[in-house]
Amino acid sequence: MNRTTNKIVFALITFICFSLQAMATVIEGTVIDKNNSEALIGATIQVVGTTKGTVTDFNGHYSLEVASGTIILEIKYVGYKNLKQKINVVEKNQYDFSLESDEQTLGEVMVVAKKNLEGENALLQERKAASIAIENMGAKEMSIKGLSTVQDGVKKITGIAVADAGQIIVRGMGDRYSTTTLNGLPIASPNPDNKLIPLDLFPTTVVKNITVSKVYQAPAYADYSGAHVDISTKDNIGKDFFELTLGTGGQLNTVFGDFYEMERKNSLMKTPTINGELKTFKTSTYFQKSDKSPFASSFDVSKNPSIPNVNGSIAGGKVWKLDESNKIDALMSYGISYDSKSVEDAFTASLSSTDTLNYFNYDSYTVELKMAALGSIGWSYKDKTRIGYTFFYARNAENKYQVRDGFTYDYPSDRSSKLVTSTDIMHVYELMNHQLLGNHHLLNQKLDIDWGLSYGHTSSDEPDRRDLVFQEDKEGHLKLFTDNQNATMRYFGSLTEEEYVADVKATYHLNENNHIRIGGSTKSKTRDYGSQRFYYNFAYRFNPSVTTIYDTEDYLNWNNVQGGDITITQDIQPRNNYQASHDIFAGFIDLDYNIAPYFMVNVGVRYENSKQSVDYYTDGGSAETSNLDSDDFFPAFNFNFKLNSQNNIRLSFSKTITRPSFVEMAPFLYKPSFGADQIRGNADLENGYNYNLDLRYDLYGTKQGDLFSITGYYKKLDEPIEQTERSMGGSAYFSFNNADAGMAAGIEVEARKTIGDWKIGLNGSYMYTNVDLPKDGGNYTEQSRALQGASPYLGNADITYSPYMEDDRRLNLSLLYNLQGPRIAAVGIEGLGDVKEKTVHTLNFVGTYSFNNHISIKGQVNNLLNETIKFTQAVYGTDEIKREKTVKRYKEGTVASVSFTYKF
Amino acid sequence: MKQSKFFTLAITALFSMATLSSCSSNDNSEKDSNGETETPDYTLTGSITSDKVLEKDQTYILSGDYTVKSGATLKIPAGVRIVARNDAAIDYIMVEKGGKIEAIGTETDPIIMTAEVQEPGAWGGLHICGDAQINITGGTATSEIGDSPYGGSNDADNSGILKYVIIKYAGQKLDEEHEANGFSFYGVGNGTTVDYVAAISGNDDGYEFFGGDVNLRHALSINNSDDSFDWTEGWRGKAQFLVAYQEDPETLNYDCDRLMECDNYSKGITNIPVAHPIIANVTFVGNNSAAKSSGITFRAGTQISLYNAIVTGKENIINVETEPTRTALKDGTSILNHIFAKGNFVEKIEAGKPAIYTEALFLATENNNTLTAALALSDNGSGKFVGTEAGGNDLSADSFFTSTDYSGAVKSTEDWTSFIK
Repeated sequence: MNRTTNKIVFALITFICFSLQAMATVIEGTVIDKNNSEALIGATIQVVGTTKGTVTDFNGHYSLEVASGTIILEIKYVGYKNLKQKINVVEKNQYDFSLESDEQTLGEVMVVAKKNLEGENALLQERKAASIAIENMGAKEMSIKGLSTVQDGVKKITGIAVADAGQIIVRGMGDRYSTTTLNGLPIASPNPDNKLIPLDLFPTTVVKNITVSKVYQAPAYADYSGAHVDISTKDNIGKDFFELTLGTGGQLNTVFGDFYEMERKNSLMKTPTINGELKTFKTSTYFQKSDKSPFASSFDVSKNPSIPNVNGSIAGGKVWKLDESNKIDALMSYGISYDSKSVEDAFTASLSSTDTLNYFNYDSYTVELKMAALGSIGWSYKDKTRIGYTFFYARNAENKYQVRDGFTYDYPSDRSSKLVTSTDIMHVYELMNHQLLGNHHLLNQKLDIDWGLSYGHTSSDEPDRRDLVFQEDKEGHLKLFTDNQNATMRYFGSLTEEEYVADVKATYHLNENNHIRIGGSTKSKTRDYGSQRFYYNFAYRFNPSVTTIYDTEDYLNWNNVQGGDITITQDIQPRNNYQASHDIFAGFIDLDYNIAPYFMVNVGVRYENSKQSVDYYTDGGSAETSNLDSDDFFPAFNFNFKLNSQNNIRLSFSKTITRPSFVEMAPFLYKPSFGADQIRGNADLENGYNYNLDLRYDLYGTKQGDLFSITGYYKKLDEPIEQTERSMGGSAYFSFNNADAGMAAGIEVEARKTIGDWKIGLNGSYMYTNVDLPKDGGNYTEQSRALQGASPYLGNADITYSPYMEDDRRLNLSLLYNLQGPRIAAVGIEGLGDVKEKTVHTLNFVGTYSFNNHISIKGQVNNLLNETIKFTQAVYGTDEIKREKTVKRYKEGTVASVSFTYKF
Repeated sequence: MKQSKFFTLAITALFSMATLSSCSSNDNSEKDSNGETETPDYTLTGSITSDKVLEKDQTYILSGDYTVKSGATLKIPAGVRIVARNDAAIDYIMVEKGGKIEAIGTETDPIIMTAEVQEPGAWGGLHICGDAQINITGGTATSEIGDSPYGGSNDADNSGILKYVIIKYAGQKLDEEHEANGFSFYGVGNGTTVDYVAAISGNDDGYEFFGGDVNLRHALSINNSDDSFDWTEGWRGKAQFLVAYQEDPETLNYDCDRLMECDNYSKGITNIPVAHPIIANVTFVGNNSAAKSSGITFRAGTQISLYNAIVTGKENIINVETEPTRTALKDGTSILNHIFAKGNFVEKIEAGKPAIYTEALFLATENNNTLTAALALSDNGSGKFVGTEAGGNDLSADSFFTSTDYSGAVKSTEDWTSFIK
């Protein structure tokens, strides 16, 4: 950031802090139960005749900005009689209220006390009351800000960035340092390359809220140091509803333009499968003798105008009151979206110190079909028990067609020609999860038992990737490329993962503020991966005329296979398969204890027994197993100093673990996806350990929703797992080693402020990361560097305008800005600098308007700036002069959309 | 007491968890450290950690990889045939760093390594890893297949003896970007003996040198679809009597690439030690392919001393690329002398940069080079690669080299290539 920006940020922060303190016309007080004087949490206070209102906090305290003069306040709380009271604001600003319980209404509405944790204010209450530092974002905020998936949501949280392929980077630390849970239970990732499940699998329409905790607490699995992202799915908060949303839109440079796709027999709804015959090894003679192609689709490419994006969702909920004590509530939600986008005139290159080794221009055309369904049903008995079942299903199917032209170091042999490739990649992620969750309040509310069971099945399929390569001479004449006989090919890959989780916690309330918790959990995960390839070799005599790369059936037809001009070889080597498992058995104990009214400690320790195992094959096909077992204790200390009801200091210390992923701990050669670099794991890899220290200061405004928060953190990484690059017979692969040491430190600032009809949110982080690379092997330019993917600074700013309107009309206009500082995309080797992604600025606009309680519309424009995303690399030629060269460039495109919602 | 009840409950819960968690867990399975296979059906598979002697004139089936671990020696007597199985796995022989192969055939009873399917690309070839220097930053790397480490500091390293060894139909695909060569020498040292060897009908390079300084004598590379000879990562060996031959693609029904592809290291063209082999008496006959028109390409910073060569059958017969490679040729660090070539000399000059080593310099009188040689190859019986040109440098001051007064690899009166017939 330059100096001017620094000044502006500083001025804004100062302004917000200042205005948090200096409030005019604010009334405050507490709401209590008339009978026992207990504070009522979550009671609403509303100025009659306006939409102004607030909710009491955990101490029953409220504060509200009102116009001076005489007003009428209405105070409501479930199970209590409504209270209306006239007050004159000039007289005094402290007003306490006591409510009478309403025995008559109790039977009707009394359920296990449930807060609606979709709203911003309720979540802020949670954040304030939590025994550890958390950040959260609810469905309402995500909706107003037009965040359509959880991935978009977490990006808005302080210190979080998203890298290629949806990798979450928290405080500069990559995917391996974070963890995701669904309703508190671990969830398997269908992404073989990332530890975290792709967060764009979760549309915000099925999400209640996202909670991010960057500090550790003993009840959670200890494999994180960056963040624990918990996604809570919607549940029915006690009323019947039904709503329908329909939307459309498109990427401005794509919609109605030419759009290319390779032949696909089925829609994106169906995942193609491989012909059953081909699951075992077949010789090339088998293909020659087959009377028809065993493959469903050809290499033909069609061109059509791009159709606009469409999406729709439907959601409903119902409550059945069985009798005085028993109630059943249910909710279902289903969403589907179809998007298309294109990237044009992009390029990618790789360099040596003196030359460009590979260079490709590319255009790509992507269509994406996303579906998500959520169903939940729950039974509650009085306020004592709730048992709920949740079913979640999500499927993202993406098909990308890409045309490239350029050259590699070796090809084409005729340097006056260029390569032209026509590639189609379909990728389908699928997730199915069943959860059974129970909460029991026993022994006169002294003991809470919470338990959960879950079974998840996830898969990642890459069916029938097709890659067809041509050579084009300088006159523009095309022919099939034959310099390298493996170039034209098909690939089939499939990964499935199953995970069983059981979790139980018992919380004993020593008294109102002090609790002791004990629990146990177990997780058992298995994975099965397999892939195979089919290479198309062309006989020398086979030299068909090629007029276009799109119509291929004239030459790539089955007659030519039968005639021997095309030879198909199947590559189904044992090493293209692996099976893996991970079992964890864990137990914990922790204590929330108020040493003094202003000083609370949360101390805990967790024990984890972890067994990871990968069955793989060597290059020559011998079966091997790689194991990594460990027993560890993870202590966590969280201290909370409540200076007063507005000022809060939190200090945390913990030890956590980073375990290698399956592909990292076994030395088989593996290629994550098309065009990606090869990976070979390392059987000697050990677990890495993280020591985390966090210090946070929170200042809550007198007005609901106002907040200033500053956090400093330091992490010492002991033997962190780092990606390394190794030379392999002239080419290279990536492997993984335990580096000696690493560290990450930074400062995060967050501020939220409401001024009249305007709401402003700001967050920013500045971080420093460093890792000392392993000494043995590796051909890096730098022996010590920032963590891969870490930007030194990240920031978000948003401003929302919600003017007061008559009747039930509502208007929200939001502008959202995201800043992502430069970061290392790939580590430089052989004297080259690191490949760095340049700073990216993103700006989105969202407007929603509700005509009444039933009808609302939303308009949204994402990526207004549409900056060129640029990657550069420093090169030192034979003259030793440093030059920055661009090695990759593309534009994401601006996307505009509009949607319409009807609530019944 | 209430609390003790609660603890009992918690412990019971933990126990039931423990029962649940005992799902799938893999037993520790160690690497088969003593994988020596004494199967009566003569199958070679797994790895050996102590010496293994094959039976003379016996045929062995190679299934998957067969790895000679450090400290072990694989002894292959004359007449042994090793035939790679036709299955899904890649079949190859790996001699790890510290391991040795002693394959000693005779002119009439050579050792043949081949495959059940007699087509290029049917198996994965012979891979030898050594402890000699390579020029990748860090000084070590791993083999293209088998992930075996190579590269070190012992240029005199000895990986054994290859004498009268023929490899046919190698070049199996490892993945979409890689194939296995016939002979792969990874950081192999000059204590190793390689004499009378042939790589025939492979789907990749015939010979590839990844650094090291292994020496080579009497080597043929015939009808290999990629480069007949290839080096990278700083090879500094000596070689005499090399034959590369590429038949007409119409006959083979596949094309063949360069006769010799010579890199220092593409990702670091000035890395040291710089590749600088000394090669004498070669006969390279290309296939006159229109698509694959370059013959010998010196590039990516390599240096070279090449003497007494007959090079023909490619349109662009000698190609010099990259500034350090061309500078070394100009200033005499590299030498091309007595090159009887037919075709174009091509200097690749970077945009806006001056020429360094031009055709005129290549043809300077003292170099004894020609680009229009009426080659003497047809004046002999086989018509393929037998025959020489008068005149050549005598390198016998270095005892590795045999004294010659001719250029070319095979004198019709001293045809040493009959072992491949």
